[in-house]
Amino acid sequence: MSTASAKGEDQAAVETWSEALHHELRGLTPRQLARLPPDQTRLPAPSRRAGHAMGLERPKLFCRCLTPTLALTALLLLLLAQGCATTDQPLPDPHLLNFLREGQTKREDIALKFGPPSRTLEQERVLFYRLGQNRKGYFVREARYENWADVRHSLVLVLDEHGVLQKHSLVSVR
Amino acid sequence: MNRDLLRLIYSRWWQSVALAAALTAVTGCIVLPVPVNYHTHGSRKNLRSEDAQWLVRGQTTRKQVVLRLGEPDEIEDDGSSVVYRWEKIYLQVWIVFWSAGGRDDFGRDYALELAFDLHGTLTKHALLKSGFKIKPPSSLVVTNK
Repeated sequence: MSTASAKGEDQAAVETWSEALHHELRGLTPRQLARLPPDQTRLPAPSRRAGHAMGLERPKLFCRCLTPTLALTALLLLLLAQGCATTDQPLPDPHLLNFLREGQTKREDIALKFGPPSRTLEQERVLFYRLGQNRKGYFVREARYENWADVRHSLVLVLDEHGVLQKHSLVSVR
Repeated sequence: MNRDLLRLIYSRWWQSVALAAALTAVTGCIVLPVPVNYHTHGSRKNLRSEDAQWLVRGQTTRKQVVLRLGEPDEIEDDGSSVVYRWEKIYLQVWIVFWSAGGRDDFGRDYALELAFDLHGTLTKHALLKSGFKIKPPSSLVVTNK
């Protein structure tokens, strides 16, 4: 009941505002109208609630470009996009292999630089790493990929009985 | 119908029948075989059938093999045998209907199997290849395990 009466008051306020504005400006020529400063061609506007009741104004909960439907769609897309986000792209390094020195580099240095190998042979005396490469340099690919897609090179490291690099080879597999 | 055309059809009746049969067979469907030669999307590309020739039984070592060919695709737990695998496509068959179409790829699987003794010396090797079979197009290949 109170809502209906409030709505009626709002509508009356808008009508009054509209009539007053029309009356004020009536009789003026277009040239006179053009000379008036902008603030004199407007009367104080009725309340925002009243304007909204007449369809003159959108609620301020969302800006004009962001309707509730659009906002909900954007929120839903953001939630769904979580599954597409990948964070495991390693940073390419053009000097990634420069530290390898046959007869000098130790197993620990290799593990610190490259992490766990994708495969090993001969009681971990032979280590294999899968490397990708782009214009910025090499990067180590994780071993979770079964095939050779996105892998450019196979790095083979042969260690001696003391865990020191004996031989190494960068084999292009793609 | 034009008399000349009828006369031509009667004079070459067997050619006309063949043409009519061919036109009937391809109604609404075009099958286009395209010979190609490439590796599949997830296959390694550093191996060829000729790569088995440098392997010498009793001489070549496991370390020499892996330093030259890279990481094997399969390794026995004790390292007594390793396998290198690759796949190639040799024929694409494009099938086009009125409003749809598709492609089938035909290719072969290859495997280079190598066995070593306790000292890591090559004892035997074999290059195996499968018969022609349909392979999923590259865009459908799932790369994750």
